Amino acid sequence: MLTRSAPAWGRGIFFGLFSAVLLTTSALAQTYSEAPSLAEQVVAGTLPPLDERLPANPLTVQPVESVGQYGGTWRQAMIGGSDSLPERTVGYTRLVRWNTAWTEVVPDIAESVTQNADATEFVFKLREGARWSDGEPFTADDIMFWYNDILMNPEITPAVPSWLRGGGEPVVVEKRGDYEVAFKFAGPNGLFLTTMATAAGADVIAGAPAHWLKQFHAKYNPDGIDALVKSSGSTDWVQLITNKITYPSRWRDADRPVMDPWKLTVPYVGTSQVVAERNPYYFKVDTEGHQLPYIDRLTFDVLEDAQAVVLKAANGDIDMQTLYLDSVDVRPVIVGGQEQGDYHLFVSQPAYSNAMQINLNQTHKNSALREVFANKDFRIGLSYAIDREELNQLIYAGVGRPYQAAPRPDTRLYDEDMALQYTEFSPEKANEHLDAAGLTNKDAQGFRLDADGKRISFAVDVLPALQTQIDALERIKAYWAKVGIDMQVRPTEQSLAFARLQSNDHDALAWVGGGGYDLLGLLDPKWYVPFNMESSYATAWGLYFQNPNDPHGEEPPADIKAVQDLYRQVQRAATLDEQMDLMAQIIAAAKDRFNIIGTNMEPDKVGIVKNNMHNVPASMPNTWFYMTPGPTNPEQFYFSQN
Amino acid sequence: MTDTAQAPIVAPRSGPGSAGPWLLTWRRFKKHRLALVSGVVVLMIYFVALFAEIIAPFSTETYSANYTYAPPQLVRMFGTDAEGSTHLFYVNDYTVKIDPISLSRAFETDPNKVIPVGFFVRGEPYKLWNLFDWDVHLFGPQEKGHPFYLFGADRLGRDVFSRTVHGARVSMSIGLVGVTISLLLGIFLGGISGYYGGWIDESVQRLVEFLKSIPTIPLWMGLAAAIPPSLDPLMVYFWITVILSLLGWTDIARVVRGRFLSLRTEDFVVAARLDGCRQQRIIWRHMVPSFMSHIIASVTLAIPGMILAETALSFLGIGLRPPVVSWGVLLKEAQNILAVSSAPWLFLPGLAVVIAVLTLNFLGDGLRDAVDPYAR
Amino acid sequence: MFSFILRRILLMIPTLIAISVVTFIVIQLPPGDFLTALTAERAQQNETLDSSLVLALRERYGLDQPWYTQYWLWISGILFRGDFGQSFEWNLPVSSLIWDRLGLTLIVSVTTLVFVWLVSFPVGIYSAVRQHSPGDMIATFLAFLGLAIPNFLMALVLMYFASRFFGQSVGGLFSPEYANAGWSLGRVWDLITHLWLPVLVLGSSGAAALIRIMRANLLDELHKPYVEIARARGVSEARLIFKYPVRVALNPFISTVGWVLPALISGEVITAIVLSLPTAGPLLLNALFSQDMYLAGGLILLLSVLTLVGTLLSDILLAVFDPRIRYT
Repeated sequence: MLTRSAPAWGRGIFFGLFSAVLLTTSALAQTYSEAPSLAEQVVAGTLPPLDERLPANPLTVQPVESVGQYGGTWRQAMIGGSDSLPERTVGYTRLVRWNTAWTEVVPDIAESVTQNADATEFVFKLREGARWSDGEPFTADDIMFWYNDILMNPEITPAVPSWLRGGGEPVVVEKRGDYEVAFKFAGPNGLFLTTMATAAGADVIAGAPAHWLKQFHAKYNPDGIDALVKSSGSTDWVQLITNKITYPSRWRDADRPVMDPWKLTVPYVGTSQVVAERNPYYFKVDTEGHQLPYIDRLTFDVLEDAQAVVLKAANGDIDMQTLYLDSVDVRPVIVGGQEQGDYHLFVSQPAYSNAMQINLNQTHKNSALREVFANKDFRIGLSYAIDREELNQLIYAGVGRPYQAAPRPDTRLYDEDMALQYTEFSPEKANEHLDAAGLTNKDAQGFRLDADGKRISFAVDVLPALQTQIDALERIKAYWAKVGIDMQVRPTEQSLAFARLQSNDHDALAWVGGGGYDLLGLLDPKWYVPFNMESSYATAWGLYFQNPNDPHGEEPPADIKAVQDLYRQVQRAATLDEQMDLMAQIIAAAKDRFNIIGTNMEPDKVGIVKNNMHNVPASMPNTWFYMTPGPTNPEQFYFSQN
Repeated sequence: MTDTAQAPIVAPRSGPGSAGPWLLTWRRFKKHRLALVSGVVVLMIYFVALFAEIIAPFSTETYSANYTYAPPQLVRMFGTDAEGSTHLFYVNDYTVKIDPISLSRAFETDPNKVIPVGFFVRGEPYKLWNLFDWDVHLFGPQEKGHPFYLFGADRLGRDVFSRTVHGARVSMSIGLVGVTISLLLGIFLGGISGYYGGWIDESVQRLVEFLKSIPTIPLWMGLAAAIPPSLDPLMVYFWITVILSLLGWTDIARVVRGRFLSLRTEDFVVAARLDGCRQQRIIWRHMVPSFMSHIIASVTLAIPGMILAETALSFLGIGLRPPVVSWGVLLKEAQNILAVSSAPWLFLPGLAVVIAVLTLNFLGDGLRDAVDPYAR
Repeated sequence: MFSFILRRILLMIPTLIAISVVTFIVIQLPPGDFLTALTAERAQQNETLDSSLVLALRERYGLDQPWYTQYWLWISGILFRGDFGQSFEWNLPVSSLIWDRLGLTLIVSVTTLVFVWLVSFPVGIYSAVRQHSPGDMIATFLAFLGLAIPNFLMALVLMYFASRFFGQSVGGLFSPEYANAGWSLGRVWDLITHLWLPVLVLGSSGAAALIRIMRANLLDELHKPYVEIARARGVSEARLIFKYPVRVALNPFISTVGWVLPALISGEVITAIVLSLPTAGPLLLNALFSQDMYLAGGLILLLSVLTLVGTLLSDILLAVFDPRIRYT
């Protein structure tokens, strides 16, 4: 829970959760204190005093349990060359952010944001005196640099991302004083702030430190740029500056000024450990005026194999982490290691709902399969044929539950009927529906034939790394064989699977997903609406939604067009209430159409936290859209010091 | 050095009249106790591979939600069941508890529950070699559906023993077929390269150098990616064998060539040539036998090499695909901390690999000694 | 001899060209390109890439060009500017990524090589001289055991026990506290305490092969008449063995020396992944999986050059050590 100085949260206040007490921290005229290591530097004269480092109005963070103690190293482990862990744990700082409960957008670097009635103008008020990690002030000019020289430079940004467009036009940013900027859109952009709270918002801040980035920009450093390009080994200056500001390459430069709680001291360039240390200019304090973060250092060991991460955790060499430790198949090791590893568990709840759903491609290039897949009775029949309870026992140790591709329980959009429709195991009903779909003729092996007398046979692509899904599909293959449907399980390397999606060449695809949390469905509606190629039950229609001229796209029928239009309305709606009402209509249509065959709800996942580490919430959502664990405020995690 | 000290100067081999070279070889081989035993074990492994359906109590895909990660059962003798009848062989059933947090099952054997086990029991039906329908298994639970896990169960409650037995067929045949292709290619190309020399030698050498210079992993990955994904798993198996052997012949070729090069100038070859022997005869009667031992040593190392290469491909996720079960596939499934820490029986297929590799090597060793014309 | 070396070096040029073309094609054999791989990887974490961004990046990286154009861009950069290009995934110059890793790769490989030779040379001779003795049996058995256990399994199990019961840090070649430290005695010692694991795993399979070959070759030699004659003349056993038979039996050691290093680097991939070693192997594998073609291509090219040079070296050594081989 955050205390906010923002007086008016426009009309964008979500869900009416007003448990936060509105007060302005500056009114308390508090005295602030800092970490001992920084105090020493101030005494030594190598760092300005705290008052000069903090903004006039620092953001006050309410600790989860208690005010903490300074010190310690938070150890984590990640895999390969472009892991998202630093972005999630260190880098969750933008103009506005998610609250911890993931119900609303709250101010972060911005002191406040005001939205007009039709969601075409957003005014951000910045914190006076806020500074980058190198001590330079953060002002409206930084945002203007990002806008004029990064976003609007067609070489650096060949295409303005869709969340920064309204009414088909790119955003216009105006400076309204040293600490105020306005984002104006040609048409309503109701998802602007919500999207800014996700991964996308970090790109704005990364492109903003004008005093540092200008040296890499041909416009500001026409003479020196060639030498910099040469020494960095880049092909040209565009590549050079792009590497400094885009994810994940921005983590490869320790000199980059940040607004994050920690700044890199050892960059992510292929060495076996990445290190970040406290940012002395961080703009947040706790309720007693201690400058955050509490923790001195973060280390990320770079490993190559998830099993090594699991072993590290079980040995007690990781302090707090959920990534790579959360899958069902490593659970016994993680749970069993609690005593030796001196840690306990927290819940990290998957934001999506379904552990595996099967998407039959209704826009298949093969007209016979297309006709069969498009038949709702066929899909219902296949759904009835699955023994979800057995799958639950076999694969999820009985803690899953039969579920369709639907919102999770306890969400605003939850619809029990939708979640449970056709989940009953009934081969009789399955046969009835398959017969009703007109597939009454069978061949010698008992497999059903299509209208041309050919056996209906198709392959379900699944990622080879997802053993549980392959196991489940092997069972489903047997269930479906019993009702006369010939399916093959086809483990497919992920880039190959995506290459096939891109050209609409897949029969069917198994994937996690199927909606889930409200905000996930809102931002990533691909399971409710044919939204992009990843809507693998209707890829050609999804491609069409993104780009009507896509060579593999295809104009959808009227009912699909109607839901796609509904989602366009969502994107324009100004308040979350309106957006959710529209989403409810979309979901009702998805329920009626029954595009996706779900299996079981994904059981809760876990993360680990050392017994001497505090202020980690007992439960948090787990998704890239939430940037787990960013919104839980890692800056207020602390180690109890002896 | 006691044995060599007594070795007589080798007499010229007698003609095929009294005892042919193969009979002599067999006589020498018989004396090599370890090799003989290994040979029997190798034959047994191939026998098991051939009759996998009968020997395995279950199919590879028989699963049970109640027995995921069940530990191995001990076969006991003379047990009395609830009805009071005594059985010669039996195993005990388990009691199972699920831990709701760790999501794992805790098994304890229940000495009161007796599951009788017998030989030639009727169990799951199968199609031997895809030809004959039958349902008799060499051994198994007397009653269908009872748990019987000699090697324990995997994550889906499948019998690790049955899977290991079925895996033998794929793994052992990959080695055999792959090495055969490699050997033919290697002897042919290495032979012409070493014997003729000149531009033939040059081009073969460049080809070998070329294949050896490209690291194997990218070649595997590239070629494996070129296998169409729509192929059915058995064809994938065939192509992987071909890929392994196409990359595996170079070692043998180089060895053969080196031997040819040094033998070309040996007195007995020169003598044969001066005697007017045909080239074919020089190669096959004089040169090949003199380095046969080396070839056999290389081959015995190559068969296990193929088996191991198949496991490596599986580890990288570019090898055989389920539902085809090979030892590599099984070991890949065991490649996690969970197996090391709480289900070590999943490594038992690794024991099968070790036994196969060991015995094949000992066998080759014995053969090597046996064909060596200079040995005592 | 000199003309032979010169000819071989000249012949390496077409081989290298062929290798560079073939590797480039092999890398591109899997469908899709780096951006498909990237999109897929992000999607698996529930991240989405803006489709307009993907199109723009594809154009920027030149991935929309035909393969021969891409190949020419790549190879001309290397030939004319010494520029191996930039890794797509790392956004860093390929050369710097490779050099960073090559040092540790060489340390691991050379240590393994030394380990393998130190073990296989004496054991191979012993096994041949004392053929069928208990010592031979035990050595043979252990060697085959090392060969028979798949490297990835052995690595995982050893890592588990080393970390669980002996407090060794998991993964990598250094403890976390030394990961970024400068070189010091403490760091060298830390490296040594971590090095034994990969060296043991990698060396176990290599040693077996060399022991067997050493033994087989030496046995071939020991039964030859010249040995008998020397023995009859009263030459001491040690001299008898080392003077000629061992030298001849060394042949395979020499003829493989050229391949050992590249084979170790390539064979090291799997072990290095399980043990999370910061060496070239995992870098190569990840580059192949993510279709980061300049990085993969650069690494493969480098390994290929190493192999070619190694093969040449071994041929020269062979000529020096084995007077029976003549180059005319």
